[in-house]
Amino acid sequence: MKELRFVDVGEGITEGHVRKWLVKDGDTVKEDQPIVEVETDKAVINLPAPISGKISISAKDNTTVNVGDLIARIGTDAELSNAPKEQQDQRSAGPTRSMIPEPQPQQASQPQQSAAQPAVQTAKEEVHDIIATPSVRKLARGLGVDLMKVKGTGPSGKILEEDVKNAASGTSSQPVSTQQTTSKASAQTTSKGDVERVPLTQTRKAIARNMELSWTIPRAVHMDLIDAEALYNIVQKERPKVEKAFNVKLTFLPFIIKSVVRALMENPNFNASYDKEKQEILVKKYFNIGIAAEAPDGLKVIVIKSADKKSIVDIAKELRELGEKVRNQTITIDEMRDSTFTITNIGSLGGGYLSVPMINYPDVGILGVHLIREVPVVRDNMVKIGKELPISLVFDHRVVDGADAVKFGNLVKSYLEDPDFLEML
Amino acid sequence: MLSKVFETSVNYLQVLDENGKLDPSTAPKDLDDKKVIDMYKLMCFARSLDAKVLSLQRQGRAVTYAPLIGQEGEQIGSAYAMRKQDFFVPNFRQHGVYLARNFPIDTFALYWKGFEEGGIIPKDSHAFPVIVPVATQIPHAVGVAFAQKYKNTNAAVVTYVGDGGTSEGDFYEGMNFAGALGLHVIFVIENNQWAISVPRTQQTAAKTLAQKAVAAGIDCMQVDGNDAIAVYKAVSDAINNPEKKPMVIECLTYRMSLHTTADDPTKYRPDSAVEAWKPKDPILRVRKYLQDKGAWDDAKQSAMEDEQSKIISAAVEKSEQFKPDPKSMFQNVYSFMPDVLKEEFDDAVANNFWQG
Repeated sequence: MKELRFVDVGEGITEGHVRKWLVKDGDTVKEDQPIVEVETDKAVINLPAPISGKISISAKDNTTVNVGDLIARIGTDAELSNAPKEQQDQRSAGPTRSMIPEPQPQQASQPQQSAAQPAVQTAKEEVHDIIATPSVRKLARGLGVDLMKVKGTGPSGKILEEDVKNAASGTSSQPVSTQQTTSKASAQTTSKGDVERVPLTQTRKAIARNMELSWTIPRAVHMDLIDAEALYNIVQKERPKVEKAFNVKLTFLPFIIKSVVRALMENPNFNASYDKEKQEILVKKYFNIGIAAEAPDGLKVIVIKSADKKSIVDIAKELRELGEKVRNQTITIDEMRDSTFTITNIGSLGGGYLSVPMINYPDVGILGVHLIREVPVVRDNMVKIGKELPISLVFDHRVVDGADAVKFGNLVKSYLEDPDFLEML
Repeated sequence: MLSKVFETSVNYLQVLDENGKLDPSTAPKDLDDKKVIDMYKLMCFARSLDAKVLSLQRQGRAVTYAPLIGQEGEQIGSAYAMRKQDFFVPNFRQHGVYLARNFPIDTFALYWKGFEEGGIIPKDSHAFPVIVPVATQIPHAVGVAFAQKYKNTNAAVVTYVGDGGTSEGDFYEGMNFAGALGLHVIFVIENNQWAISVPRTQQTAAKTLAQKAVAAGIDCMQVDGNDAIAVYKAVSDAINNPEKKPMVIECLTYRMSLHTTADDPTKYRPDSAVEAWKPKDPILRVRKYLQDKGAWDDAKQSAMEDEQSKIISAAVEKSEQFKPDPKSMFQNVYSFMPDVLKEEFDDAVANNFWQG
């Protein structure tokens, strides 16, 4: 039997986040086969099986592992059942184990810091060597922060930029153990009332990063209304047949994706990204349509790869599969990257009229599609009840202009208003 | 008066194209099937070994490692051109060159396990140990070549540098000495398009990296680095040149994987960029060539893979049983032990420092 323990897979890595198991507990694995995806602050990496055999998983999905922690055991049934138990759960509650097996008693018995303690420690409480880079020292001088009074949260107590900023704003919670790992909310009382400090989850951090990047795009919006009568009718009419023949529920989205792909083919600059450095537009010759999806831990963008080569039914099936993976949190990075254009289906959430979505960086455009509503429409000089689908197209104005957006929007509109024609393409 | 005093150009050589088609007009005269098969096997071996070390690193069974995948062509082609007496001065990614130079695989496994003993270079390998600081190997290589000239031997020196390394002062200084002193050193530039996260396009305004040789008065050329046969020809011609001149050979290749195991290229490089290089794979084209000639087939392939995988497993196994001697960290740095090091060594032994 062999144990797979988490090691410093980069240079100076102390912990990792178990993102996704590629095998199931009890599976038979082969030597060198990638078995689990772990995210460190440097990279997402696959850990391979050290030997062939049956696997017993110790570190579950979405947990944090420290260097030295057991990830899995691999061996025969007999070996696995005789293996000693190793507690994984205690870590999230208490201090974490370091690479050295013996626990450090003074750390373990350290009392919980009271929530209302002052933010910056006084010098007499702790005298320690200052480990900080010149840029951090400069920042501290600028902000008037005494580094002797700051407890570093970096490796070996290194003081980070963040620590100095926290100390300066007086928001620093407590001298945090360098090995505190799991996201834990901490309460704080200010003069205005109780405040809870909730650390960002990995997903939230990723979303925040992407939104900040998206905000750097000079964008404009084109909005329009689409007559969705024909689209509504074809979906209603074909839904039972499709369900019976292909066992998948037909929705509006595959038609929207198909229309968008056609419009992208005729307006390649929307299927692109902007390279500021080189002053170039990267026009992509493949059509990977990102779809914003609501996951338990926040927004995810699933990607229908090569959507131009897929039928309405293929797309419907893939949407269902990827949607399930998002809900089960088994979606992989590969299934969420390399989009060339994105669609966000606000209508599916059941509310809203028109929205201005954020571009999925580095795409050029994103199309928001909204709730189809019954509205009075004028047809043949008569007011009738029609169905209306509002759309909003947010675009990178460095790459395309308003006139291009109208042209693109009109194409999407023409396809969606004549879905029978779309079917022939 | 205005007159032209100097003009130059840089040639590009490819012998075997992506589809395994050989250009007979540029093919090396001494090329036969045995040589091609030898190089092919070495490239496959290098790739398997590379994958194994990467896997071991992820399990904590090997140290920080710079994967080689994609660059087998230039490494095996150049190493295969070297004669027994020639010297080889690497940077940190020349795993393929070590292999082709008959470096003991057991020692190789020890090195990547982090043992000092892995740095012991057998004398007849005529190799230097792994050199990590970028381009510092260039002055070493030039020094070795100077020594050969002084001793009037018939040995050439082959050294390797990456595209990023060609921006270093050491590279220019080394080349200048090689040119000025007329030393028989061949600078192989492994232009794998990436210096960690800096792309070749941002590395220099020079159109080719080879042309950097011009200022030092050294001959240069560019070669398809994924064409082992072209690299073999270029390096072989430079080594066997009776004038024993220095030469700069830029090999155009691509780093298909990580810079090192501490790197995540997905943060700065799209997968599509890597995809574009997959059809240009150095191993694929040689296999096509050999199969078209009837000199290779699936049975031979699987027999080779089995044999190589056994050799690799055995070496890994052996390295895991190995008991390192802490004394070796003092003993293998110099050919003799300088007094200052001797003092530290005696002190360490007297205090049994590695027992604590």
